[in-house]
Amino acid sequence: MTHLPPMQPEVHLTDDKKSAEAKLTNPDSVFHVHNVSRIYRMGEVEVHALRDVTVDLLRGEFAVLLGTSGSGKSTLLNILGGLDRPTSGEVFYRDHNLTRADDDGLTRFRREHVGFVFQFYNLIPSLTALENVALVTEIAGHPIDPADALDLVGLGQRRDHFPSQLSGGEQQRVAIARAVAKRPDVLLCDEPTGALDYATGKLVLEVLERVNRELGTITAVITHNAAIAGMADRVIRISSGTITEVLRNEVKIRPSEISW
Amino acid sequence: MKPLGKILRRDLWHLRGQVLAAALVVCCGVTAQVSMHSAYLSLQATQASYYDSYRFADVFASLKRAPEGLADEIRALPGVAQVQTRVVAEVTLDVPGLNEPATGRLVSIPEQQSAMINDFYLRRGRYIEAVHPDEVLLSEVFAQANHLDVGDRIGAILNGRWRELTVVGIALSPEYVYEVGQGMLFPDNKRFGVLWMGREALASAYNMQGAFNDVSLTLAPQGFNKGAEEAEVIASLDRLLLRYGGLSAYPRRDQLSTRFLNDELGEIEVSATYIPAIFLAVAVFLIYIVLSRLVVMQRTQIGLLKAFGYSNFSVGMHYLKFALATVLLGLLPGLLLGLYLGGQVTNLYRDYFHFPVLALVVSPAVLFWATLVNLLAACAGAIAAARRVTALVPAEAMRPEAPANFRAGILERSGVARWMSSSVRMIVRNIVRKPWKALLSVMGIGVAVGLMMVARFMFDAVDHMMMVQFDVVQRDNVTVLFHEPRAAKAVFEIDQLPGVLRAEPFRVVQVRLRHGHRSKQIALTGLASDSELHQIVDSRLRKIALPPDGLLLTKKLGEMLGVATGDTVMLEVLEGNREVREVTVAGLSDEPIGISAYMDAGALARLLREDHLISGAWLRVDPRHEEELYAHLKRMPVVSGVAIRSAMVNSVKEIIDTAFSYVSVIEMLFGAIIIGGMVYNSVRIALSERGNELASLRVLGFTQREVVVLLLGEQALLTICAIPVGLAMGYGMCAALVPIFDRELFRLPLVFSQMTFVYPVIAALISAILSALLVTRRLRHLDLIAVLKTRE
Repeated sequence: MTHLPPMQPEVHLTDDKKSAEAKLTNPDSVFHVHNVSRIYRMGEVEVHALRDVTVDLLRGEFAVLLGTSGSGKSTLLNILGGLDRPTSGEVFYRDHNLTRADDDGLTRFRREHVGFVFQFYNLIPSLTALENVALVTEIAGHPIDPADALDLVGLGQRRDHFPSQLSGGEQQRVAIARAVAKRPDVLLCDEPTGALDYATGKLVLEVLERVNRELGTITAVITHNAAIAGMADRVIRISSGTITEVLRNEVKIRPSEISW
Repeated sequence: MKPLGKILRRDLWHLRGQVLAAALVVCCGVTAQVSMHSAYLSLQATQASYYDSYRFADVFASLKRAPEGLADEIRALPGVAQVQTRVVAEVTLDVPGLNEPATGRLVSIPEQQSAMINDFYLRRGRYIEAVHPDEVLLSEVFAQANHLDVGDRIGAILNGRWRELTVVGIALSPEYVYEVGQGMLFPDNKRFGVLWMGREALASAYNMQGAFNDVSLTLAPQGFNKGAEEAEVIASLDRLLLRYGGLSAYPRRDQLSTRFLNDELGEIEVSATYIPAIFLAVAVFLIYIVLSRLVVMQRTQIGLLKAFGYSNFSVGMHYLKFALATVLLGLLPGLLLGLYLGGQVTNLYRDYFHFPVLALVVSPAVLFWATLVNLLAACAGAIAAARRVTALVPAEAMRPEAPANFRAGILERSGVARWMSSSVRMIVRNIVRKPWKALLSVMGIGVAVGLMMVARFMFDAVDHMMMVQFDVVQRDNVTVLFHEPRAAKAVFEIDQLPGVLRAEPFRVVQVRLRHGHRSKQIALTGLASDSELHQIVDSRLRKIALPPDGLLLTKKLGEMLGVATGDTVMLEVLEGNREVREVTVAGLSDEPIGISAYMDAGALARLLREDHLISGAWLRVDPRHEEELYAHLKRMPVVSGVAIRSAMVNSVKEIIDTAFSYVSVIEMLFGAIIIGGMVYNSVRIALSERGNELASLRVLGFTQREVVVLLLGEQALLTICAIPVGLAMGYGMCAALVPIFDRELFRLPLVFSQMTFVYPVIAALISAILSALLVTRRLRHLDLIAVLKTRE
């Protein structure tokens, strides 16, 4: 049932600090996560969501963070997106140390550099598709025209519709248009197809692939759906809070070819 | 505990802020209801039992002088039960420690104490003794105001002779529950007081042995139609007294003190109805919106409960219990606070209305009704919200609610939306989407602003009334009244007194005006057409020239008689030879206090066929010589009364400052609580409805501040809309109060100071901002991460 393209192990990072140091100097590295642990305290229980994780996101890549529910993939995404702070370790975005930024700093980071796509789209119900995109472009430095962003996701015709008048897939594409319209450096997608049916999910993946290809935005998709891994440049597998494997796809397949 | 009970307890705790806000509004409403109704009942019950126990008369009349034998004739009138004849005289008093002369009303009592009509309550001391003609009983308020007590002495001029009166007792009478002199609106207890003196002693001072000048009577209790019987007795009494210089007899309800008391009771009744009603409406609304939101948030839970087999009724009851718990939370402290405040209000009344005992009546009925009405309000709010519960089908309920439905409306079609920023668009569309809720919010805040405006308006109206009466109309510093009309040259005597800069004589004569079947007894004032110290003005305070002939009536008197300018009225002089003439109404003037009729002094003299007699004089006084003047006036035998404007005005201001501020502070506070409750609940619900949306925006890089603007924008816009609405409602409420206060004694003018608009607006804004900020604290704790995973 799973249709997986061949993968090659690239490097095991978890217990190799020296190579992590080396990565810091990797000219293609945009994000550098270094020895990051995240511990949640839930009552008297400590949950180690991430244990000593070191990983990079590279310029222009399409990365899939693959893991089961509770593996720590969302925690990693949150830390990359400046929504959460590691309990220990450091996170660099280019030469900014996100671990040292305060709330305002993180807000600015999200505003200027990160595009988010949520599982449940989270559009503003009182704004039309176009206005939802414009909401973000209004506060961005060099945005794409909101109408162009909607054209990019194939919803130019539906621009004046309110979220309640759009299907789930359409809502998610508007969300993608909203995320990319400000020309973020990184697009973080949390189970973007999780709430969608098969066909619609694939349509959304196509849009993500297109955005990554045409705009060159680093795209990190977290999913538990292994089938999606085939369209990635790299697949980062997470399990029990550690990165178990990082694979580089020699051949990327097109979203239309994916099936699950 | 049953599962639903646990859920209820948790829901209440979870929504404690909103529950508390609604409970606070309920608390205020109950407090207002209980306190005002209790104060009303206390005053009413005390009045009834006081009047009854001390045999307060039913009909009163004063006259010039009649032989005691007439009393038997009065007693023989059908319908009359008991008759009391008295000698009553107004005198100038020299009160120790008081610079100004005071006015005392001397009322005769039998030398031997016996049960009588218009009896009094002896607070301290003893009854007078026949062997000591200078012994008096003093009214308690007058004694208190002047720090007098049993054993003190007061100087008085009785019929031109200086006497020193000894206070042997301190007393109260049902006749002087509200102790004011004729024509006064507010009591000036330092300068007006009642003294009871032995009949023989008083009669011999006024050459009234075997005679009387005041009569009161009680009616026999048998009649079915008390009104008709009373009118018949009054008419017969008037006929009997006609020959003896009788002025119109009047029923108890027209008795000055009773009228003030009844007017006050009427006012509390009005306030005790509309103020709690406002709170009740707001409370219903708050409970409704809190519950509606709760039902939406708990749709899954409702679906689950229904799926488990809980009936619509038991699930509905769960929400009803929530509403009842909210109301009970406000009700219990409200009942206690209401009783406490009722006690405070009753205490305040003690300063105006003097009873032997005025204690708060704790009426179970009041508590019962307050409880019932508020519980019903809870039911109304809950039922409106719980209809959604019964409408939910379990399977549907367990699915998440569809995204909020927005469609293109007028804003979009007209293209107006294009010109708005995204945040403004979101705010406006959220309002437009639920227009009824927005409207009710606006009305709720508006009515609170209105309530605060009414509180301030009372100050303005009284201020304006005082300004018109004492700055524009009565421009004298001191009014001097003579015992009996004197020759015009008497004014020169007054003019010579130290400190008098100007003295203008006037003539006052009691007359009865008749027009058709309506008639009114009134003091007709004759004054010089060039009077500086008394001006007659129209409604816009422009001076009206006194016509050379004919009457000038105040508008209210005109209304009461049903006359307009140019009409003629029958004028019956109630003194001397009782001339009856037809006189033309030459114009109507406008005065806020009392009712008056004016005539040119010359015309009046011709009408009375007298040679320019005068009843008194208005004085303009040099303030540096005031005390010297007062010392002279105290000892002038011809003077029966002295009214000092500044003292009167100050006394009124003091009363307004204490009583009105207390009430208006409470009304402002209550208004602020309504606004706070409305805003807090609206914002909390907005946060609950749109928390996800706002957290998403935070994730997308919106700053805390930008998100706060989005959250509060809607409420801010509604509050701003509510302010002009509230001011308009306040204006309307004040305008509605004006006719209620359109009385013979005084009329509230519909005037506002700027501050009356400014204060409620400031209070509304502060209250709205504070309660909104209370919610925004929660924005800091928005769970940004949860948003990525949860679905509204």
